[in-house]
Amino acid sequence: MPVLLLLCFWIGLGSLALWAKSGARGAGLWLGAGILATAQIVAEMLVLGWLTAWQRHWVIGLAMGVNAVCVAFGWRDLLSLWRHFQIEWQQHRRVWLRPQSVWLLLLLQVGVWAWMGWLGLLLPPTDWDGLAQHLPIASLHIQSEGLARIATPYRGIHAYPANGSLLMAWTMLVAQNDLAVDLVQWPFWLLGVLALYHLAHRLGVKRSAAVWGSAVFGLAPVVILQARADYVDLILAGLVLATLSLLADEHLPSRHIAPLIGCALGLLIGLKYAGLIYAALLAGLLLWRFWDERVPWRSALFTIGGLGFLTLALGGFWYWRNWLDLGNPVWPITVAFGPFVWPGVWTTATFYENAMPEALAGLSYFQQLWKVWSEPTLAFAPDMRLGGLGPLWLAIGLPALGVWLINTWVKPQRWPIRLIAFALIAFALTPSNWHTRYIIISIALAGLSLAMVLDELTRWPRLTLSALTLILGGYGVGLALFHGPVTLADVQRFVWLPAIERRSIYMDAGVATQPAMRWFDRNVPDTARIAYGWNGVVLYPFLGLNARRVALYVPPIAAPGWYDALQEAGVTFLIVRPDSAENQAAMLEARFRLMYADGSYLIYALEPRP
Amino acid sequence: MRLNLDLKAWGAWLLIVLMFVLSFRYLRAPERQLFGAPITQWAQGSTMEANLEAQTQLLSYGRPLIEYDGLNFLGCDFALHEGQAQLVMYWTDIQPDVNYTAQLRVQIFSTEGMVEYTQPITTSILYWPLPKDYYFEMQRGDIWLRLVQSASDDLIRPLWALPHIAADGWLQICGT
Repeated sequence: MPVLLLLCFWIGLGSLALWAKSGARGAGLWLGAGILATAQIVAEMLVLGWLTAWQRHWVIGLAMGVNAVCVAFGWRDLLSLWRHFQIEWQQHRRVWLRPQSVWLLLLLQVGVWAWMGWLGLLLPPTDWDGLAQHLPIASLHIQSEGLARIATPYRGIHAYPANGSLLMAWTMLVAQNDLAVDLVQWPFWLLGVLALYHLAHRLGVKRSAAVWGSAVFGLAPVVILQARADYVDLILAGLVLATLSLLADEHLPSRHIAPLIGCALGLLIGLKYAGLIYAALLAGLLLWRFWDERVPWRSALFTIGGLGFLTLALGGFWYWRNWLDLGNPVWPITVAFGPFVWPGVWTTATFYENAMPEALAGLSYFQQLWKVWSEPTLAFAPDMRLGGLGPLWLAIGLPALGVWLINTWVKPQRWPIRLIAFALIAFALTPSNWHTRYIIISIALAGLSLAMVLDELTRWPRLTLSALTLILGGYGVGLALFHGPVTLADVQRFVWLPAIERRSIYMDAGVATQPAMRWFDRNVPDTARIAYGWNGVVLYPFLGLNARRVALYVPPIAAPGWYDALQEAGVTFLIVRPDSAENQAAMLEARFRLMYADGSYLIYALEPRP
Repeated sequence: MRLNLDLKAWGAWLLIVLMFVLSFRYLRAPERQLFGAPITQWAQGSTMEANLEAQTQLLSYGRPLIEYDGLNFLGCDFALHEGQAQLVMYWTDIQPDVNYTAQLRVQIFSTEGMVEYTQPITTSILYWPLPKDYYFEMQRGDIWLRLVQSASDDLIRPLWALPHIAADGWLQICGT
C-alpha cells in the first residue's frame, strides 16, 4: 500500500509539473493534472499490455521514469507555483479562513470523502459489475500479463471497452493486492466536485456559491455509493466535468488545452460505449472554442490531428480489436446506418428492455422520470434504478435548473447556453436515462444553477437556501450511508477481520454472499487452476485471494474430450450453473466428481493430471 | 464572463418556497417518514450482529472431501466471534459407534512452527480457535488434519480424499 500511495504522489507531481507549463493555475491546474495522471496510467497499461509486460517492476519502473522526466522538465514551474502559493497564502489567508456558512458544507463533504475512502480500504469489492465484469477483466489480464483477448462467453468481459479495468489492474499490480481496488473511482469524485466549483467560478460565480453548487453532485447518494464501487460511471463523470470546466476556462488558450482534451476524449471512449456521446459533445465544444478564438484553419487542422491521435491512442484499442476480431467496433451492439450494418447481438433499446424496474412499467416517459427522481425506495446502491440523485436534486437542483433555463431563453449568453445544451443533449442521447448512474453528469451541471441562484440572492434568502442545501445534503448522505449496501455490522466485522480475510464473501448481503463462493474460498487452494461454465457465473469471488486462481473457459465438447481438455489445461475445479450446457456435459462424464451443489452453483473436482 | 439572473426579491422567495415544498414532499414520502428512516436505521445498525456464523446449509450442499469409515469430512469454513477468528469444520454421516478424535496442526508464522489441537468429533460442526500468529501480513498458515481413535490414538486412514495424504497420515485442508 505505501508503494501505491508513493507512486500516486509521484505521478501526481509529474502531471502537475507538466501541466503547469500550460500556464494553468488554481483549480484548473489540479483538474488538468488529474486528467494527465489518468491518461498516463492508462497509456502505460496499454503499452505494457501490448508488450505482454504487465509485471510489477515494469509498471512501477515506467511510471517512475516517465514522471522523473516530467518533474525534471517542469521543476521550475513547480517551484514558482509553490512560491506563488506562499505569497497568496500570506495575502489572502484571513479572507480564505474567515468563518462562513460554506465551511459547514465543506466539513460535510470532506467527512463523506474520508468515510468512503476509509470504507474503500477496509471493505472488499461488493458490487455486481465489478465482481462479474471489471475485476475479472483486470485479473485475467494480470494473469496473462498482457492484453490478449480473454476467451470467455461473457460479452461484458469479451468485448467491451476496458480502460476502467486498466486502472483497477494498475492498483492491483502496484499494491500486489486488491485492498484499494474499489477506490479507483474515488479520486474522480473529488475531480468532479472541483470541476463544478471551477466551472461555476469561471462563469463568474463567487467562490462560496460555487462550493454550494457542487453539493448537488458531491452529495448525491448514487455518487457517494459509486465512489466505492468497481464501476466506471463516476470516472466518466469526473473526467467529463474536468474536461468541460477546462474548455470553459477562457484564460487557457485552446491550443494549450487541446492535447489535454485529446487525452480526456481517449479515456472517455475507452471507458464505456456511452463515452462516445460525451467525447463527441466535448469535441464539438472545442471546435466552437476554435471558432470563438478565430484559430487559423491550418493550425486548427493540425491541432485536431494531434487531438485525434491522442483520442485513438488512449481509447481506440478496444474498438480496433473488436473491428478486427468481430467485424464490429462496438460489438455486441448492432449498429445500422441504412443498408450499412455492423452486426451485433442486441441494440441499446433491446438491451435495456428488461432492466427497467417494475414500478416504472406502464408509465409515460415523464412519469417515469418523476418517479425515479422522487425516490420511492430506501434501498440505496451504486446501481440503483428507482432513485439515487437524492433530495438535493429534486428539491433544489431541479427548480434552480428551471430558473437557469428561463434565464438562458430570455438572455442567451455564450457559455451558459453551451453548458445547458451540453447537459440536455447528453441526457437526451443517453439510453435508459431514467437510470441514475448514467446521467450524473447532466445532474452535476444542474449544480451550476444552484451556484448561480445563490450568487444572486441577498443575505436572508441566501442563508435560508444555504441552510436547506446543508440539511438536504446531510439527509442524502444519511440515506446513502445507512440505507446503502454496507451495514454498520459489516463495518464492525471488517474492523475485526485480519486484512487477508476481508473478502466480499463475508459481507451481510451482496452478490458474493452465495454459499458456494464461501465454500470455494475456504476449501480450494489459492493456487488452483479453475474452469467455469456459463449462464452467469460471477467470477471474481471464485478467483480467491488477490485473484491468484487462474480461471479458464473451455467450451464443452462430447465426452471424454472435454474432461481431457480441462485436465490438459491443468484445471482441478470446475464451477457451473445448474442449467448450463457445461453442467450437462459434466453430468455425462463420471470422472467429474461433484463436490458441492446448491440451487445456484455446482462445483466439480478433476483428478490432477498424472 | 458574469451571469446575471435578475432575480427579484419576490422571485427569490417564491423559488425558496417552491424548494421547501419539494423538500417536504420528498421527506414525507412513506418510505422515509420525514427524518425517521435514517435515524431508525442508524439505531438498528448499531445493535446488529457483527459476528460471522458457520453456514449450516453447507452440511447439505457440500459433498465429502475426505471419506472415512464411519464419517465424512465436508470441508472448512470460517467464523468470527467477538473479534476471535475461528476455523469451522463440517462433518457428516457420523455413525453412532465411531469414536474418533480430530487432530489439527496450524502453522504459526511467529515461531515458524505448528500448534496442535485435538477435539473429539461428536457433532457435525467443530470450531477451532485460530491463533493471531496464524496470519502474517497478507498470508495465512497451512492447516493439516488427521483422525485417530479416541481410545487408542491409532491413526484412521481415509478411504478416499481429495487432498493429498502425507505418509504420516496428515492431510492439508482448508484450501491452504
